[in-house]
Amino acid sequence: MLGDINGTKYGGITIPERGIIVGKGVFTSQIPEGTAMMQHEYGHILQYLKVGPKAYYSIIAPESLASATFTSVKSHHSFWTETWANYLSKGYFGLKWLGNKIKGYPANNISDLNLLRLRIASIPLFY
Amino acid sequence: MYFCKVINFTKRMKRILVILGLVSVIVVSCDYGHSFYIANKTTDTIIIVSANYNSIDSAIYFLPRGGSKYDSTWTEFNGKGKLELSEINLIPSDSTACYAVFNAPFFYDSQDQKGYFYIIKLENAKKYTWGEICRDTLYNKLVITQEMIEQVKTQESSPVIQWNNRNDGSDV
Repeated sequence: MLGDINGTKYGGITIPERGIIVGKGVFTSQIPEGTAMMQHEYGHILQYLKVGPKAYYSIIAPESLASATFTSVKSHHSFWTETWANYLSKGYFGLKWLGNKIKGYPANNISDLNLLRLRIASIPLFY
Repeated sequence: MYFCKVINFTKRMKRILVILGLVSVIVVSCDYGHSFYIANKTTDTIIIVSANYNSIDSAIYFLPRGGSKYDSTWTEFNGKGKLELSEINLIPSDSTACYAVFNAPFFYDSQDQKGYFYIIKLENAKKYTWGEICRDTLYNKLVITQEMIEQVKTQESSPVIQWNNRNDGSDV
């Protein structure tokens, strides 16, 4: 279902505290395209560690899923949940980050508005 | 008794259906990557750099050799000097270079939906500075369109575009 790194399409999904699930060869082949995807998925783990489970599962996860499902494929890579994952991943991996070598990994810090939404969501009262 | 069993079964079925629905949404909406390859059918070792526009000045991404493992080094622009070449970006004769894109169509940032690839012989890349390569046109240009990719697409593996010095895409 998640494809093969040597096939026409390969996928990856992150479920924090459960794992990163990717297509065949994405991780094991160690080729740059696969490593870049793994680094991006790890960016989602970093988001989870930063904002906690409540904010992650009430805002980041549903909005990311909605973006991937309902918006055009052209805009999902630049959706804020994805660009912030890239930003965190870039900071974590430093010079080894591959997002500037493979296309489709724009990295931007989170906006003040989205940060505020995450902070509000992490307050127990609003959950 | 039988009625209770039916209710339990219905509840269980509902739960299974909800889980299946969630799983299918998650799988459909996962991140994805896709790629195509450019096969070097010349006798030279080459490097390939992709650009956003029809100009080598917008060249950004050096393509890695297909199937090569990442070892933390990558070819870099060194100001106006020579390129700092890395093994992973050298494409020998009869091997392939990989162009991969994440969560987006292949040429999402190209205004005319075409991919511009600049192909430089290794001997020129070693001998001349990046400025000289650009100024003296010491490169070939390969223009790839979505239609070209569709033509060589198969169900099982990534598309492969052949580069043999004659398909420079100037007529595209």
